[in-house]
Amino acid sequence: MCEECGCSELYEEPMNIKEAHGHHHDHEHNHDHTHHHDHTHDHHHQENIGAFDQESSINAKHLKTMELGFSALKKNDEYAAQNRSFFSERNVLSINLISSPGSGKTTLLEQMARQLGQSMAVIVGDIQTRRDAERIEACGSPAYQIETMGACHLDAHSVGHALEKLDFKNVKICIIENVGNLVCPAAYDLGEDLKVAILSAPEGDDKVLKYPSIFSRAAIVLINKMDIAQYLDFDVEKVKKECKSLNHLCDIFSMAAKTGQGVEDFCQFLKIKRAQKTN
Amino acid sequence: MHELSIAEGILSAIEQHIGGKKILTRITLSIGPLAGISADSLEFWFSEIAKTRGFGTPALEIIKTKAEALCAQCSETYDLSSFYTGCPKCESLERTVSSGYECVIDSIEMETE
Repeated sequence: MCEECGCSELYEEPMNIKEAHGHHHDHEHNHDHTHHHDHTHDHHHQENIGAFDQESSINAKHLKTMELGFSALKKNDEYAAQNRSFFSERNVLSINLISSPGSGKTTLLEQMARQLGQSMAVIVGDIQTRRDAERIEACGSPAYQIETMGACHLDAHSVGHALEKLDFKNVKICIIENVGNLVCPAAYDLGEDLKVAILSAPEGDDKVLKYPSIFSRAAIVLINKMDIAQYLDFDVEKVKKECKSLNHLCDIFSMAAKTGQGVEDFCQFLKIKRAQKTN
Repeated sequence: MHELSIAEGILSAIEQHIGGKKILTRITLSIGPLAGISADSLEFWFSEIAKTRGFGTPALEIIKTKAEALCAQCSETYDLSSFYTGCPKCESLERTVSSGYECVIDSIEMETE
């Protein structure tokens, strides 16, 4: 158990990987803020005596059945609710940015950092290295790197600790750049207002229907690397149509993060979303 | 891959609820078709970690539930067996999904002294 907050280390990281790298918990855990870990225990205990094997009663254990009825991701969801409160109290719009590795997440965030500066904060999830946070900081926005050391997605607990590390005084938009993966991150609520998915042209125009769990849940889909789409067999209209078939309410932006084309429109859209949230 | 994390999450939530480790003999889960959780993968990881973490070797009973959608065009309510199922009445894919993403721990059975 994590000594300060009582959290399960095993919950944060897969067991086999943790054993391999000798997990050390070196973050500060200064809990002088809203990210508290003491959960209220208001759940009900409906306990019934279950099956009991009469014939082998000498060695038989009593079996008790307990009705639970809560989500398998209950702990994650509790931390996500705390993160959501954290953002709301500070009038911050929060985005969970999900895509494949190499689709241009960090390049987009570099461009956004040049436009939004200190009004944007970024939490970056990667398996290893601080490279992405350094790239974003160099462009003018505060960034904090989470190294998951093997985990394929961010969870709300690790994001909650990352929020402690950043100064939110001037921040209006917080982007949580998830681990590059189109599958697992879709299942974990981080406390975000919106999920944003990126699909880049080189990945192919058939990916939307292949990865429905993320594209059905994304409020915004960014189609990136449109500057090179003409050299690829990439049908952007097909992508848009299939995104709408999974989620007819999603907003779609075409862009080229490398050249900056379309980035300003996306930033403006986020500013509107933030204004809608705080009004 | 994330089924390992989900198996961890299930055991952590149970441990928190019952206030410690107990030998579990059965866990019943309900998983929706849109949850993105593979039952086979979850069973594999569960059997690996439950014993290691001191919960015994519980049978994992998985109930596959249905997803329900409300058609945005004609207001028909229908079972959504997959993301690619349209409204049976008007074939529209425009809809609001009201269930199907969940993974719920329904009940546990455990040994007592």
